[in-house]
Amino acid sequence: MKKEVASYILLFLLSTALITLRIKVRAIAEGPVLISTKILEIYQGLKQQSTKTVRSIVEAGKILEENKLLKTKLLELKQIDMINQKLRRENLQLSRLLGLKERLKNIVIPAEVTGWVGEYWEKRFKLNRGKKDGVKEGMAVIGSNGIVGQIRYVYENYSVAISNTDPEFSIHVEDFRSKVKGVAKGTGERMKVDYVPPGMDVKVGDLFVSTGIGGIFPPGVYVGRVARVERSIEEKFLDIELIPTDRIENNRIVLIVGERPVGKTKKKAKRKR
Amino acid sequence: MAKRRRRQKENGNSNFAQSLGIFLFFLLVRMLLLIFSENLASKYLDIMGVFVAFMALRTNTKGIPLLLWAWLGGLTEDLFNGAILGVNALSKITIAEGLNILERKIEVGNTIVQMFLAIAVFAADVLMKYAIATAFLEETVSGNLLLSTITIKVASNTLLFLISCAIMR
Repeated sequence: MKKEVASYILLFLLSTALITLRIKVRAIAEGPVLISTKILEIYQGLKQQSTKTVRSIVEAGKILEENKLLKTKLLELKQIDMINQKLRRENLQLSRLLGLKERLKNIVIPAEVTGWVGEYWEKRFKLNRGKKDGVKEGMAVIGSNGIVGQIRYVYENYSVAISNTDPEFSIHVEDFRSKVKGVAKGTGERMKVDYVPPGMDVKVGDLFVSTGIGGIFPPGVYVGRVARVERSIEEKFLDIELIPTDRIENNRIVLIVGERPVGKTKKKAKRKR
Repeated sequence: MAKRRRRQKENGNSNFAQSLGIFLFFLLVRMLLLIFSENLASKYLDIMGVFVAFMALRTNTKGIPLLLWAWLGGLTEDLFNGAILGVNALSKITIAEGLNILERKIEVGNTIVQMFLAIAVFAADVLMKYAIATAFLEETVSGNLLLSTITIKVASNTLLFLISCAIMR
């Protein structure tokens, strides 16, 4: 009890001394103010930081949501762009076909490629024109960038064409630059030109066009570009590989071209008079 | 004799650890309140006053240890407030000594009794600070302001005291 009272008196005097000495000792007067200000500054800083962090988290959530929406929108726009590009290409192809149609003096029947028949490697395509439209077996099929095939089977409302890379396809061709002639045949993936003697002037990059010999294919239409030329002493002819300038699978609309009968032309001339 | 002394020392150490833990708890509350509301922490609540009342009424701390914890609590409150060093320390040790005397005379185990004693402690604390302000600092405080301060502080501190009792049973 005595110790307790003595401790109380001691602490009382100490506290009183602190209160009264603040006038004389600056540290006692200013210390608490400085410490409390510092503590407040630290906590204000922490508060601001935590507020910023919370705000960033909320904003990040909003940004993620917005990002998701924008990605969906971007996907939609990409799809629209793809459709537009496809339409643009088709438009270009149709313009070329229209130009070709006007140039050719043959029968020209526009047709749509509606699908393929047979196995995938057979490269046979279905066209939506048949006997009733005037399509005949053997007629040429031309795309926007050159010859793409030949009519093989004709039915009432549709026909089947073989592709220019089909092994059963063949066409008389000539080098547009050097006028070297040969016969181009399908090899499955590309084409090759046969019957060109070894000494002939054929280079990689040369363009081969149809000659019109036989009257099946119109003359001067692109067939393919030389990808490889090999000269061999043992072989009788040059080994020339062509990359077709166009393929039937790249076209939705093609032209079926056939020879115009002689009689029809005369009748047209009479009508004009 | 040696065993008794050893037991006393162990009890003393565990009491110190418990008291330190309680002090740190109230200090943490003081610091957290500072982040969320500076006003609440300084003007309407006397966290260290609640600490002293809790130590005296809810734990086994009495005598000199209680005085020392009260003095430490008072100084801590002065530093956090940026007030005059020693004002809170003086009021807290006086309250602690008052409680020491009271505990020898009456039974303070009952929670209701503790609550009323806590109310008295908080009111006495405000009055003591008013007395120190008048005596040492030559400040004058109006009667209305004093009354409203006592009311608010007593109410808020008592609430905090009860919450602390509930948390730290």
